[in-house]
Amino acid sequence: MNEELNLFYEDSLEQLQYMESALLDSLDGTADLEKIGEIFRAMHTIKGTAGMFSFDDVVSFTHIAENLLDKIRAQEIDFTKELVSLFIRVKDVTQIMVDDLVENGSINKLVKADAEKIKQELRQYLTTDNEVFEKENSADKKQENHNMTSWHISLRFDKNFFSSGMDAVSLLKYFKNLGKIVKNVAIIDAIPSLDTIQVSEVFIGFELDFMSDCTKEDIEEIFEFVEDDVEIYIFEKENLKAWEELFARYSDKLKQQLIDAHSYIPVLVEEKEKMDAFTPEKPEQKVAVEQKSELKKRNFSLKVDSSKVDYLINKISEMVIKNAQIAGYASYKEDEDLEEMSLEMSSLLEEVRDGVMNIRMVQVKESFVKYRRIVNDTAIKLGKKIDFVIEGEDTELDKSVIEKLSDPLTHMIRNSIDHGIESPSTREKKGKTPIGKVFLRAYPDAGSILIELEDNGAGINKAAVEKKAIENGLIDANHNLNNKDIYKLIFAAGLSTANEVSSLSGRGVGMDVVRRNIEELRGTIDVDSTENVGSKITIRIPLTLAIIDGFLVQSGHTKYIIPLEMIVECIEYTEEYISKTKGAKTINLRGEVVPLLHIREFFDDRLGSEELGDNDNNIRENIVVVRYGTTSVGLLVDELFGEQQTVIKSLGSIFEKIPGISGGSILGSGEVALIFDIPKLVEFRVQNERKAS
Amino acid sequence: MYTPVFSKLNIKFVDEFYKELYWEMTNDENLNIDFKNLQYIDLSGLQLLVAAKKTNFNVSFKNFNEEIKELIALCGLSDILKDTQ
Repeated sequence: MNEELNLFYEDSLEQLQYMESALLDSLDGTADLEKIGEIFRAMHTIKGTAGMFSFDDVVSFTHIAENLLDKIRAQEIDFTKELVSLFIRVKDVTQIMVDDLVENGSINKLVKADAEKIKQELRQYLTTDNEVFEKENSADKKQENHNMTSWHISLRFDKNFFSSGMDAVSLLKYFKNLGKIVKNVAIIDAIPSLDTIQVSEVFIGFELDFMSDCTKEDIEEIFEFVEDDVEIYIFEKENLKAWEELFARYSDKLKQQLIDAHSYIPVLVEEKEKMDAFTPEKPEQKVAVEQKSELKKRNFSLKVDSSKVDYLINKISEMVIKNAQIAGYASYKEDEDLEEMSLEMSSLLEEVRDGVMNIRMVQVKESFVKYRRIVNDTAIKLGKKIDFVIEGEDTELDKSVIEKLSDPLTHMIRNSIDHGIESPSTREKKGKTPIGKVFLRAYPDAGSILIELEDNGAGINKAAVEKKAIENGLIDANHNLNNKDIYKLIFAAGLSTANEVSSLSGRGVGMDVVRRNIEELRGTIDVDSTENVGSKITIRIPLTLAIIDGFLVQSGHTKYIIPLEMIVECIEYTEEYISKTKGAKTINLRGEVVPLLHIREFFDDRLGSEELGDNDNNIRENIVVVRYGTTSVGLLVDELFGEQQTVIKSLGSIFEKIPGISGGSILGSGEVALIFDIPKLVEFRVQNERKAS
Repeated sequence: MYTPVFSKLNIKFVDEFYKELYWEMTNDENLNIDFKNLQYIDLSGLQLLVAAKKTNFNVSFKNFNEEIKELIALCGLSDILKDTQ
């Protein structure tokens, strides 16, 4: 997909998302002008950008929708529930059309038929056929009735404009949607003869006279997707100063060409300029202009292809590794100055890293909005009433993480409504309100982000899960699992306790995929539930996926990295300590019983007798206390090396399944260090403790 | 007389058309180009026709369909890319 088309696609999806959110807010019949304005702007923007790509079907479809919204905005038509539902369909069909056009270059016949049907429905709200016709030809109407401005637009294309994939003729065509092209003088002087022409380059330019009631910003928007490839100069035709500036750049021949074409009429312009000199600017106009420019300033943002950010992250990762090598070399050479410089470089790299990572961070709100639609549709389908509450939507998370969370969350939300929330009558029988509540929350917690999905439905039937798991051979009848572990079985493959398979869920396919997706993000899931009160699923995921602050340790022959944010403290395992606790599997940490996990034993990485000397005691051991959630575990390791930035590298398919290891990293020395999967190690140790007891 | 087979003259086909046109114009000083097959033209195609006209004013065009005539007018090229039919 070329860059412009990609921008169109992203922009359209974003607009449709805003539109959907505003529509869902309006479902209860409380739409305010701001919401209606958002819906209108979405249709207007998509119509505009689709026009630039000559996507005529989208233009005509969104045009009628826009006309009707215009009437709603003017409060000539009530924005009833029926209309909101109709516009939800408009949004859906627009999205499918955009998808089809971007992916296949054409719109599926069935979708076109659907669009036609909706267009008919929209037309019914516009009082007469004539009105539709008039509205559809609003550009002409506007010319007659409104205060038109006469614009002059000078267009020069970058010579490589054609490689942008945009057709400049489409841009000109689009002007017709906004007003009337009074004159277009083609500037052809630069076009070479056939002997020397490079057909892939642009030599032509245009000087347009354009009448419209649109603003300069509206005209600039036409070129939004190609602003780097087109030199545009837009001004009111009567602005003498602007003409002078433009003419200062033009050859005499071109000036004459414009004068001959009556595009530039010096005398008239001069007269008008004089008259304007006596018209004082109204103070409120000035304030409005200032406010507008301030608004523009505030909303300034840059759309960057995410691959460019990924490229930067990769390069920073390489720099982190190189700097670690320099630090290692400085230490080896005992060069204190170089060590100092490397340390400074490390701190600078950390800042750059955080800055670049921050570019990838987006508010979860953008993604969460779509779940409202899923809740709405699922509830309607199942005849249930749901109050869906989103909390912490300003929480920021890596964009790629958000994208990967999309499918699991969709599945879980559907499950929650299908199996969790009871029908209104059942709820009333249970003494509950007929409207079920589903909460979706996001908030940061100790270097991770927690996402909670909570409902006040029927809860998980523990006995049914247990029974099914035993039947499926997932657990033994004499198991020793606690409630949480039993609930977690819902994420096992093929386990569904639903009595009926619905179109939405109940086949037992999905929750295991949810778990896998979350684990791929180095995340974990916890389930808590109380029968007839509700369930809460908590997903914990790391903030970023590429670089972490780590703590380097060694155990046996292998170096390991522990994510720094999970370390509580390090304790030297002194001889005294050893003799006190010899053979013990826990330590007493200021009154808290902390289970120990001997890393050498866990990974079966025992040292040979030469390395060991007479006995294990010759190895200086340390305990690194890590915490995951509310549980602490002491990791018994041989050596501590300290903090370092860690670039996470995948271990590849052969090694990716090693329990307790989430990835690898290359150290400055070129050695590979393995990154501990702390949640897995903690889980393993806690389960062992439980079995033993 | 030269009747290009191209139904589209856009950036994808313009180079191929250029080669044919160059050959035809070298061999016929008063070349008349029949665009009866042409359904669509973009700016790269229009620009090439202007280049042809600038190279040899005697080259002429005919049978542009209505849509293409409109497009030529929109681009302010009606004077130079006249349909001689």
